Amino acid sequence: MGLLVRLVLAQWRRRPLQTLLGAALLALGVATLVFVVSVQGQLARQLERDARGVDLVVGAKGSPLQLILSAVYHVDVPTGNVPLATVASLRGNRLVTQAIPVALGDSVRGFRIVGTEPGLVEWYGARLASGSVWSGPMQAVIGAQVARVTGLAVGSEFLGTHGLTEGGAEHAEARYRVVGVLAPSGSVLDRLVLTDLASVWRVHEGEATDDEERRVLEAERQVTAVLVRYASPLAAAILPRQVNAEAGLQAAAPAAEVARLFAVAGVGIDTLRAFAVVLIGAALLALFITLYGALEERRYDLAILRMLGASPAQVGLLLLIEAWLLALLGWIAGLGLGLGAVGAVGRWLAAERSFSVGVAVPWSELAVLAAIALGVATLAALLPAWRAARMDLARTLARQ
Amino acid sequence: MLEVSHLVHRYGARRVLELPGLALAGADSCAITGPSGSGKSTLLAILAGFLPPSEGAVRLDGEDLYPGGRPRPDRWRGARIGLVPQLLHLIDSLDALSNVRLAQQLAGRDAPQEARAVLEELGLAARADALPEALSLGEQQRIAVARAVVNRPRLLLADEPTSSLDDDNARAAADLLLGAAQRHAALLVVATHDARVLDRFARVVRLPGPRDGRG
Repeated sequence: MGLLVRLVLAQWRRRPLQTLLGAALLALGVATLVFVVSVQGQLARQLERDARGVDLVVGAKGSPLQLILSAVYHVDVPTGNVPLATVASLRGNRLVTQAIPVALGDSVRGFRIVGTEPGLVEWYGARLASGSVWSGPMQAVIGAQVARVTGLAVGSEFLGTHGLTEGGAEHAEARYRVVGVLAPSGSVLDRLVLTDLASVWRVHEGEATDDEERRVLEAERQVTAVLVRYASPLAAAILPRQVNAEAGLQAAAPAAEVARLFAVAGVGIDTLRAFAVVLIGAALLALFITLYGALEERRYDLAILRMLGASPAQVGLLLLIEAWLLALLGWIAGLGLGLGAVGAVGRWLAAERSFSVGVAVPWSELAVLAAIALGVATLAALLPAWRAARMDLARTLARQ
Repeated sequence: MLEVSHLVHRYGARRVLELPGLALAGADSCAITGPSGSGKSTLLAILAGFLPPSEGAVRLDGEDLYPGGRPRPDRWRGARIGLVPQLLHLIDSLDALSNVRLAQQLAGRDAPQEARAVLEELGLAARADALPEALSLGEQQRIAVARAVVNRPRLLLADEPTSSLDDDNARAAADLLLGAAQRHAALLVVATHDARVLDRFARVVRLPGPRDGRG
């Protein structure tokens, strides 16, 4: 076996290019699958984790998907605002165990400043790495990714910028002080800046000059959305209808919207998968052509091996080993390429302050991909190997 | 010792070879000659152990090459019979030494020192690391001889070893084979239609020209 491997490697050294086409196509196919499986898996897990416990989101009328993406995942702009009274009314509903408001509008270096209540930290089960939660306006608790990227720490101050993306105008009056830093939780909180609802209002309302004006301002207070946890499964059947019946309000369930999102994105994912299958099919063909060509070209080499004492099985095995080595090469290169692409997308998403996608080796899928690569190689080599094993030694050696 | 008893070989209905008998012992050498199509290459393939004859038997040191009419296992053949094919057929991706060692390894042994010694004996010590394409035809032929004798075969066969060579080199090639066979105590059988070298061999067997199907 070792001898046969050395022979194959010696042949590759002589003619590296023609052997590599099959391996390259296989690598592209494997890379595409690694990429799809890895990114899809991570996004699905993240979407599920970030929506955990959020049964319903109540917000302004508009696209329900947009509402979920803005209020739960913080990757889209809000559909609008709803009156602050909505929170109290939901809390008074016996179908609701918990209702937490979120108010959006500002950001710091692309990370969203979310006015909310400390309950949101508990909701996601996040822990403070240092400091404490806010106890008043203009105090902020920052997520782990925010701390890492901006370098902010407990005690630092920063100015909020208007709008949800980088490059907005800074609010001179929106000077926040960091009072706490969250430990990484793997949830959306990692990339959020949490503060009191009153901070957001203060920044956008300005100071009231007299009591009358203050009353008017307070009556007009709004939040962007309310995250709701049901009291019972029954609520799922009733509450959305109740909410949607009210003017200006809509209710959206993250589970349903995420499922819809995946149904839409699924087409793209399926296309990528089909593309990967086509690439692997092309690799099969290329490997077959390479090996068949090698069989013709090395007919005499193979005959010499037989003459020197190699058995038909050994000669057949030589072609199988060559195919297996090419498959191994394609698998390793594909893995590297696929994970490289995942890393690039992860960096891009991080720069967009969006979902986090990390380079993680999908071990269980890798075994399946290795089996596919090996299967393809064996299939491609079977006929050439069989022909090599059945070669008529006397005639081949006599031919000139 | 090599004993051939009444060999006949046919391809379909066409009889391509008939040899009443041949016996070689010790370090005998024998040239098989005859016109093109007289069956020299066929006889060599039969003697090499990979072409079972239609009729007759070949015994090497008392062992039948085709027990039950079937070839012996490849490794058995590789360890006892060395063949220098007409076109040499060195593995072009392996250097000279590796080509020689390949024969050892396929016969189930590995002795790099022995392989080097054989190269040295044929004057190729300095060319051990060269790829076949960097070697002259004469050097390639010596590698092919080294490859054929490295397993100390009982029987050394060569197919038209001198056909493409000029007079001097043809004689040198014949002497190379005779010397190698003698040193390794091997019987030597050479198929050749080259009259220039026939006188070098102890025995000469002439095969008659092709005839049409009597059987």
